[in-house]
Amino acid sequence: MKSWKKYLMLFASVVVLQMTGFYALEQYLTPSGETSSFSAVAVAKVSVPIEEHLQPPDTALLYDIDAKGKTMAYYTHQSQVVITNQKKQTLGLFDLEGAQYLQWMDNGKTLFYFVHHWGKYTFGVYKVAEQELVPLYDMESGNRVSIEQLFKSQYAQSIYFLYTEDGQKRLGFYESMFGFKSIGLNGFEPKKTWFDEKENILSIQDEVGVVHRYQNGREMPAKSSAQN
Amino acid sequence: MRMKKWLKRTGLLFSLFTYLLVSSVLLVFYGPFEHLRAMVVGSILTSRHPQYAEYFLSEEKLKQYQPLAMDAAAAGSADAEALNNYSDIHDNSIDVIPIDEKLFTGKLMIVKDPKRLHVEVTQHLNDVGELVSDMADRTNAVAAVNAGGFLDVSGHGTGGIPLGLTISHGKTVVSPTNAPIIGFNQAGALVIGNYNKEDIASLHLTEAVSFGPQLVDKGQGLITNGDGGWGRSARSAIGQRSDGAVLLLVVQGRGTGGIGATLKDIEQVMLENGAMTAANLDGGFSSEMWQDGSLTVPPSNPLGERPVATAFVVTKN
Repeated sequence: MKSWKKYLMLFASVVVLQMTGFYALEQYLTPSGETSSFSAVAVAKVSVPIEEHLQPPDTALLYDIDAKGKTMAYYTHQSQVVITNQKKQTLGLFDLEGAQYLQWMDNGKTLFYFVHHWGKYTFGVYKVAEQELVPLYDMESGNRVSIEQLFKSQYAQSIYFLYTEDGQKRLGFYESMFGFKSIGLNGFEPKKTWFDEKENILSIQDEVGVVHRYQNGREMPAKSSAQN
Repeated sequence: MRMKKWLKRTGLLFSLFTYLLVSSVLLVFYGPFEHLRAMVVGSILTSRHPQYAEYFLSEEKLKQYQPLAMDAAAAGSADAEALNNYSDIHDNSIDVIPIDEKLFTGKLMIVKDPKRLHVEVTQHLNDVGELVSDMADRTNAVAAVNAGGFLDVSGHGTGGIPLGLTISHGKTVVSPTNAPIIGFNQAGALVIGNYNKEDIASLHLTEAVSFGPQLVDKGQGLITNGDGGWGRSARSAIGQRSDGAVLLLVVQGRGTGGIGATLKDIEQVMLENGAMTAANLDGGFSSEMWQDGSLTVPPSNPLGERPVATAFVVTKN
């Protein structure tokens, strides 16, 4: 085939592909003209069973109870997470092989998890209302990773977690718009941590008393513990 | 020879890339793809650099995509007598209708007795906000949705400071500003519109927040051009039918429930369900619906609920 014919075919393919892409995008963005067929659902009244103090079963490998003490998530030997409330209702049950960390983000509605499965470390959330696992980020595989502490800023809608990667302490930061960011602690060992949720500042005091402060995934100028 | 081949290939790739870039820009701004153009231009106009849109479209054409101002609302009449009286409604039922559209999903809650609606304000006023579920729990409510706006600099507000007129259980929490009001009077009429500050007292509002724009007035949609220009997102809205029933609509966006709704979509749902008046409430990560202990429309942020300043709660019978 003559070379100009080859170029013409290549160009034509690109144009067709481009137009198909645009057409598909336009179709996707076009609202459906039909009205959905609705089915009215009346609000049912249920009798309220006696509430109990939540206690994980002895067999639970990991567990967390929300701040109000109303909802509990625990991890079983069968690699499943069970979510129950004080009324002994099961609000969620799902497979989560390799779970290493569980923590409620709010009042029993959103559960943070961290798993090591098939050599890959992943963190994400389980949304109880939607009964859905939402993986948020796959961390670099190949290294040994474990989460030690998690901090959530409800106001800034972000999380920090202190974690160890191959023996090195690091700080993870996640925000849904900007994704994940890992920050090295430059070899210092955290001695004390505290989180100012309103200011969205995580403070980590090292062995010599220096306070390292982090905001929106960035380290702020350090100040000594005496200033706090 | 090898160098010549490499140069030829690089040149070809560069030309293709340039062609794709230039032609895509031309197709978006001047091609036949109206919805795509509306989304792109709307995003530019609501970004920090709206002037970039002027490089491509005329002032006249851009008007079509201009985002509706938050304070766009019908001028309210100070005549409180003209408002409907729903004092005699004693129907305690609530219906919930699933909304399942191509680009968004959510729920429409219909509360038959409008007098069951109250504005709840964060108990940490002027400090931090409160979760809608906490407000609902605290007040022993059966349902709740997020309501008015709050001070939110760069999306990092704590939800502690409501913006605009806020009235809860007859008590004025924040004095009126120029923002449209969304409130209920003693007789259960939903009052939406721009009112003179001095006329507001005559409305005898017992509950109110501020947000906008108004979407429906006297049974007519107020978005006459384009889709409202706010793009697609999670949204909340409130409306009232002629029989007094209150419509609480919450749809998801940027999450598992679709990419979200435009203001026009919300207006459409309200009109289809008989709204005589309706307004947009605070949206995005604030949007959520709570009922009987669970989030029936969860917030779109995967990290969970966001503290807000105000919520509309539905009290028990």
